[in-house]
Amino acid sequence: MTSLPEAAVAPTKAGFLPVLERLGLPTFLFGIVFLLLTTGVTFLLTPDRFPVHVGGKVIRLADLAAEEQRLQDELDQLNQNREELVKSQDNAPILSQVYARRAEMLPIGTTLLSVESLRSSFRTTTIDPIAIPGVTFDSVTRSLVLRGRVTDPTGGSNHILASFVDGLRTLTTVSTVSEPEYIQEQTPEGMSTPFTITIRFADAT
Amino acid sequence: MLRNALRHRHCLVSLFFVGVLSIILACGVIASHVRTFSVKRDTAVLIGTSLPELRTSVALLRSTVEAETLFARQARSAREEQAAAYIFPSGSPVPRAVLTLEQLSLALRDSTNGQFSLGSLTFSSKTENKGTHKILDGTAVMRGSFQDVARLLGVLSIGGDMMVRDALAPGVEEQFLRAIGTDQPLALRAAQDFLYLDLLEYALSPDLVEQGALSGVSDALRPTLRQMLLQGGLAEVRTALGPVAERLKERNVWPIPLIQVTSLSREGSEFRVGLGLLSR
Repeated sequence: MTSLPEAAVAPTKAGFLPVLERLGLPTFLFGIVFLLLTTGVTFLLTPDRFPVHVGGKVIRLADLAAEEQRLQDELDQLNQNREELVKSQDNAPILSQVYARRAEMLPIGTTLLSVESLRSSFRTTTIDPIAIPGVTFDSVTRSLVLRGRVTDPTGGSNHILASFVDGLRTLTTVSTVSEPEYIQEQTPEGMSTPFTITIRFADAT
Repeated sequence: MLRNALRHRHCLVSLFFVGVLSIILACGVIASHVRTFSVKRDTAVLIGTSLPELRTSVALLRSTVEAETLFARQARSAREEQAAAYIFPSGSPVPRAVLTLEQLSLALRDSTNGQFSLGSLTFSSKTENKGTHKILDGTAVMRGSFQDVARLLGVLSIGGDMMVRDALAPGVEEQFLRAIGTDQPLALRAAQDFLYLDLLEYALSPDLVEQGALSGVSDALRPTLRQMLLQGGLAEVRTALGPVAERLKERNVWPIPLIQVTSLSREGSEFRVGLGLLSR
């Protein structure tokens, strides 16, 4: 049996240090170059240099925050200008009073127009099913009472009345609309439903 | 000799550790750089989302302030004079109210082939003082259809309105301008001019006026905007004021005075309308 050469046994004997000695210079060079490169890249390729697409425009990231600040400042300035303009409306005291009185008035005219527009929307070439012979309005109770009759030769007067009430409830000038009774009566013109509907207006804002 | 060799070995070991330290430092620099990118990206997304809306708000407010400044400079004093003379007078409101109701009933009579008529018009002799304003009670008796009376009262409800923007429901003006500002900021000026237009001029040819105001807006948005305006109050202006606008202009019965409807009752074709004439 032949013994192993001395050189082959030496590293095992010496342990970890010779490995570090061998790796020392390459590790140092790699580490330094790596550090220098990353530091250089960090300074050269900052996020602010990159453009971004915002609302169809290409803008540098650094300019984006500046643009936002500029717009915000302009918005504040314009709001200030507008407040000054609103204050200057004191120069028109009668106009201001007119607007105030207008806001207090109940929209009875526009509501009646809407009621009429809705009523006539049920009209066909042969029949005009909704008749409103009774109208009462009182500004103290803020209510408009409609008394009338829905007549339909095909027997659908209840359905027409329900649709009419539904339409009244969509009016923006109205606060509440009462639910009428649906009682059909036989008339020479066909099935007919009399109704009384109370419309209440919202409090002035 | 041995000492030099030892020093050389120590130096190499030190270089190894310095190299390792440099690698760790470089990794730290990369991690920090990546974090900065991530933070900046989040900021960019945040700003990028809010920036177009901010731009629209600025354009919108700029045009509004410009229009209001122009109005304040040129038209407000004239409107103030009109309001003082015709809408909310300091003297008796009766002459102007009678003229308005008379001309409105004549216009309605013409359009209904004589089926509508103003029967009587009476006013109380005593004016009630409400502090901020005075009210003179009156009663109008008229004969006609529900539609005709609705039209007449519809015109009275326009009383006090002088510009298109006055006839719009609260919030509609802002909604209208915001929609245009988002779609086509260059069309904002025409939209503002439209809002400050005399309401009677609009009632005389509403389609033409709307067409001119919305000419700079995209075809897709135009029907939505027209719908918005009609539902926002201009449909009532077209229905009520449209048929009588020509006569009101001819007879110089514009603007309509502040007349509030206090009561309404119907017996057959006769309508009894309680009125309150407002004055300073």
